[in-house]
Amino acid sequence: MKIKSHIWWCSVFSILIIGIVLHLQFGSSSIGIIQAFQEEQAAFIFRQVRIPRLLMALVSGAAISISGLLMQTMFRNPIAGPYVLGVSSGAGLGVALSILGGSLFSALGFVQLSTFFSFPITETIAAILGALVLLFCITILSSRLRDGASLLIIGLMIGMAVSALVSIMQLYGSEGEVRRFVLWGMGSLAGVTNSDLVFIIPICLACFIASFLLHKRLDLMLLGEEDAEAVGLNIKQTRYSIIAIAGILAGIVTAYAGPIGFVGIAVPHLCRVTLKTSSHNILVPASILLGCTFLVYCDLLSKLPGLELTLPLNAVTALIGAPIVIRYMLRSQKWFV
Amino acid sequence: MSKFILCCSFFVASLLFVSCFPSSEQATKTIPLPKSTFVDSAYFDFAKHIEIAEYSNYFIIKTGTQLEHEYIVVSDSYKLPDSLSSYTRIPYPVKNIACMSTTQVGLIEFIGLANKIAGIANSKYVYSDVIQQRIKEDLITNLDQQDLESWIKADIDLVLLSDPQAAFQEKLQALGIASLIMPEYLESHPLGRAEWHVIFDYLTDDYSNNRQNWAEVISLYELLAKKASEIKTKPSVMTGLPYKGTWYMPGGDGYLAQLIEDAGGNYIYSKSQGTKSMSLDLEAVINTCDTAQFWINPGTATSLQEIQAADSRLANLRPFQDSLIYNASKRQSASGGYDLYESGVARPDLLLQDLIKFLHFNDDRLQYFERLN
Repeated sequence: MKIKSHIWWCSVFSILIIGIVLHLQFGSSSIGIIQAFQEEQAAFIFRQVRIPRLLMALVSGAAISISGLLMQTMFRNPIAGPYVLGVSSGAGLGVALSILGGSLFSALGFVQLSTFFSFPITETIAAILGALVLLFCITILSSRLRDGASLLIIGLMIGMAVSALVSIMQLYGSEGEVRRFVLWGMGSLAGVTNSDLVFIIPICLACFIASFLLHKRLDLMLLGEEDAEAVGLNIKQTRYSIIAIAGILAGIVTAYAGPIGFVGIAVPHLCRVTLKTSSHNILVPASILLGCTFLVYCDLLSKLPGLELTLPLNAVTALIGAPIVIRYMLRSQKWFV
Repeated sequence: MSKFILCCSFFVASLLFVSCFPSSEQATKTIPLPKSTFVDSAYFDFAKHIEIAEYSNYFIIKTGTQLEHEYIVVSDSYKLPDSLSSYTRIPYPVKNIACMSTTQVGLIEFIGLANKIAGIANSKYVYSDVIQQRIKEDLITNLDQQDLESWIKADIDLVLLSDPQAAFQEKLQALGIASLIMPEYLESHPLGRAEWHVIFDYLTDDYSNNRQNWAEVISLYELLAKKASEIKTKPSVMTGLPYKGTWYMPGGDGYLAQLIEDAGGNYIYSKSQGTKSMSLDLEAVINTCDTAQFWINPGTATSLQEIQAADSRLANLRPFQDSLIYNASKRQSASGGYDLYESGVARPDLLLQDLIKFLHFNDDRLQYFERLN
């Protein structure tokens, strides 16, 4: 399944450029690129809706992919990812607390605590904290486990426990709050504004650069902790760096766009399988490029061009991504190279 | 020989003694009631998703867009014939009603049967002072779907549901509690939605004396609609508030679209089909609502600042720039319950009056709505 490296980069890059053009040209309104230069209303929609949405698709596709790649490397587990390990659930818990926490504590009689949630704690901060706490817990538990399967089961259990807490909060939330949380859970890039991107893009870019700078350490992590330590790797420091980067990336995207499943697992795999490498100086930029491409096309479909309606992004990523990964799985039969 | 005669006599006497009592089968055999005959059917002027037929021994109620939910309201002592066994049985008269939505509370209160409400889900969102007082006095229980004990304690005999919930209805059935699907929100006319109050005349034995009030509601609504139709300008109206880029907009066949039209307005999505809300993309709504002059019901927002905080791009819409945004937050309880979704359901005439006032006369002396600043 090896594709020559330069062909891979050129093909994916070309597909991405086409995707960007299509994403800008087609939306839920009939406005096209040319009209953006002619009409004031069209220009507003381009500046304020389509371009921020496209940028968010590019950034979040790359962010979730890198987050998945880092987790897979750290846990040396091919199906680790923000969604599978419950990190997205942690971010979800943070968002649930910021949306539904007030009603829950009010119902339980903790009125003073409920007023705390009426302060404008942003969903973003809550989501990042939730993701980091969950990832930290999983990392501590992973050091006590011998095999990857147990880790995934623990991730699943933590995810279920978090879901249970969220269910309790939903039970006590008002109709409006529950609806807001359900909508958030479906995933959408349409709610992101230019002012949000001023916050999101620099943080994500810093994380991308940091993850690229970690590439040698990430390669050593694949040897296993003992061997990596034997060749001089500071395991503890590397782990914390990975947790911080993966947690921030997963948390920030989940806060603004909702939990986007599948991308975090699928994209790093596709990169490994198609490029036949485990070297992170290739995998990091490759995951960024393929992640961007994948999410740009998924979001293009979720916009349902020509119709005014919209589809949940989460559903689209799974429906498109699952067959692709299954196909590659069946053809390659290998996860790590 | 005498022993034989004695034994035979004892045997015959025993038989006679036993035969004096009816067999268990005979004991439970009910005397067939006279065949129930059709008496009348309730006439609905506006409501389309409900039908009620009155028979001599029971009422047949059908609800739903296809009238697919069928109920028979009958006293417990009446044995249903096989031909009616497919109907869901509701015991007559219903004494303790549970409301799963505040819209049902509004209709019941309108008809003067607040004393029949024994339980409400999320009762803190009820606006009505009368109902809140009854909650304080423990005459109404706050019901939780997960805590079925509270349903038994409240002695509920009928639950009103907005939509079918199979698993929950099964649990209720096991507890001997009947449930009735009441999709009044799918009516395409505000008066049709309000007209659903008639159902309670047939469920309870307290015939309301509210006929006069209802006639006045219809009369005022029709008068206002007629006056509004004579106004030549038709301001365009948009509604709702997006969350994370998805905008729920009521369908063009829904009661809100009709209310706007009757108020002499032009609902931006009046040509869309269906009575339910559509999930629209933010971009499409911004583009379509470019011409909107008024904006009503922007979610839970009570100020322009809150709308801008929800999504800064909304500040570019014309109603925002002209400060022509109205929300039904004037009658809102401290816990966030809107009277629009309670008494407003039963009083569409008052809602119409408010709409006409601000759409055409720039009059902000309103009952339900207030202008956001």
